Amino acid sequence: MTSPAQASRGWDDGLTASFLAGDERALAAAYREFAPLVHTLALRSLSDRSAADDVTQEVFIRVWRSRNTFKPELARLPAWIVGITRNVITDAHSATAREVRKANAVAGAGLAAGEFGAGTEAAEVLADRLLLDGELDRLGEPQGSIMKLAFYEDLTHEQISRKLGLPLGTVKSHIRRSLTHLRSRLEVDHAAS
Amino acid sequence: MPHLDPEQLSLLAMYEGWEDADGREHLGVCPECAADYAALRRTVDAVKTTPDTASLSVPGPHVWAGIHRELGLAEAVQEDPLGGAATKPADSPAGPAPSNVIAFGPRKKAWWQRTGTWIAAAAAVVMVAAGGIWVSTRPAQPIPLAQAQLTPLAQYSATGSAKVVEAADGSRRLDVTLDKDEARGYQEVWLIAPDLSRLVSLGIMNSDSGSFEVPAGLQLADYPIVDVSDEPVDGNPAHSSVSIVRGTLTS
Repeated sequence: MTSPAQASRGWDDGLTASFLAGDERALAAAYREFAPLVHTLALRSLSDRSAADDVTQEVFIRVWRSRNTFKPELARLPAWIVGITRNVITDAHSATAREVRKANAVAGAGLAAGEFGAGTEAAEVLADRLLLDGELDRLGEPQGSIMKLAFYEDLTHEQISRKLGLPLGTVKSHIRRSLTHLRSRLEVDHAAS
Repeated sequence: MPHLDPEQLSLLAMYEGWEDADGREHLGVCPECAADYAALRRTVDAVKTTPDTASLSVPGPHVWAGIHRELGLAEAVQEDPLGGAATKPADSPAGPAPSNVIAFGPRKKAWWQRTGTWIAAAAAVVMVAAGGIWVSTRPAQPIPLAQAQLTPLAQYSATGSAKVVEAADGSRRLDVTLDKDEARGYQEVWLIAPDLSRLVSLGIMNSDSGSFEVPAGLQLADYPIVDVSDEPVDGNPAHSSVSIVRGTLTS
């Protein structure tokens, strides 16, 4: 697991089918792929290794028990797991509101984002990335192609306009709307958690 | 200058090198546009950046063991899917996964359902208060102003005590003694406000005891919590969020 592309594309959607069919090996595969991410997100939020262990357990227990509620047409499995992780972390916070207020207060005392080092930053970016994974394909065309050229090939909107034979204004407006859409995907997830 | 138009904002977020001096200047002075820009940047980062997943923390084998037991999974998937990964050295910034493999009976009670360390700390405070504080009346001797029992947090087991003494010249010193040094990185000693909203670093403690000057003018009542943290050697001056022991000073 060296890149998020591998992390998410490494997740074979065939495994999702096995997972939905109740194959325990698919749960083990999901754990192998995503437990470090889940653990790091929990550690970042709760600042307690044992709490992060508990959250990780709870996430995969919920993932397995509620697999019937997973809708593959709405999101990929990795994004679903990230969503459950945020919910479990929130539950941990509210169940222990008083203690966590204190923990967060310490966090507020200069222990904000990144205090655990690069790992937690990486976890947030990776979580965001998994949430957006597949979203470019869901944008439809020509938006998907425009955004891929902008994101992955660093083409300017003029270059994209020439390459795809689309008016400059159209390209600009697609970039704006697509970016706004992707942003809302991240924010909806965060609000839900 | 009016707010940036949404297309301009998108292009700025999308292309870091985008030449738009006026736009960038506006971002510097307009919190509203800056917030929008930050949210869009985060979206772009999520798609474009390759995070370093090698630095993620790896849960220990007991985590999978608990899941396996709770869900009653088959023997075929009994082994920790992360295999040897959990025993790899401390490349996770907050320290290595706990090496103590907890034998799971029934599923471990979630930490937020367990009695908090805070209650233990509070109990320790009560005990100290009940035990009474010895106050010297001999002016030549350092006068203990306050002391605390230090109790371990999370996966640590060190215990100890701390006391603040006042020298004849009025300067104050915090003496900390632990029964062992359990830091994976190094130990740092802090005084923290009761609501944990503020903290003061007193210094580094490389062995199981140390003496630290208390800043003149600092009211102990404002910072009564003594905390010894485990700090990675990462050049980051902030508290690592990983505490080894804590206790509250009482006088």
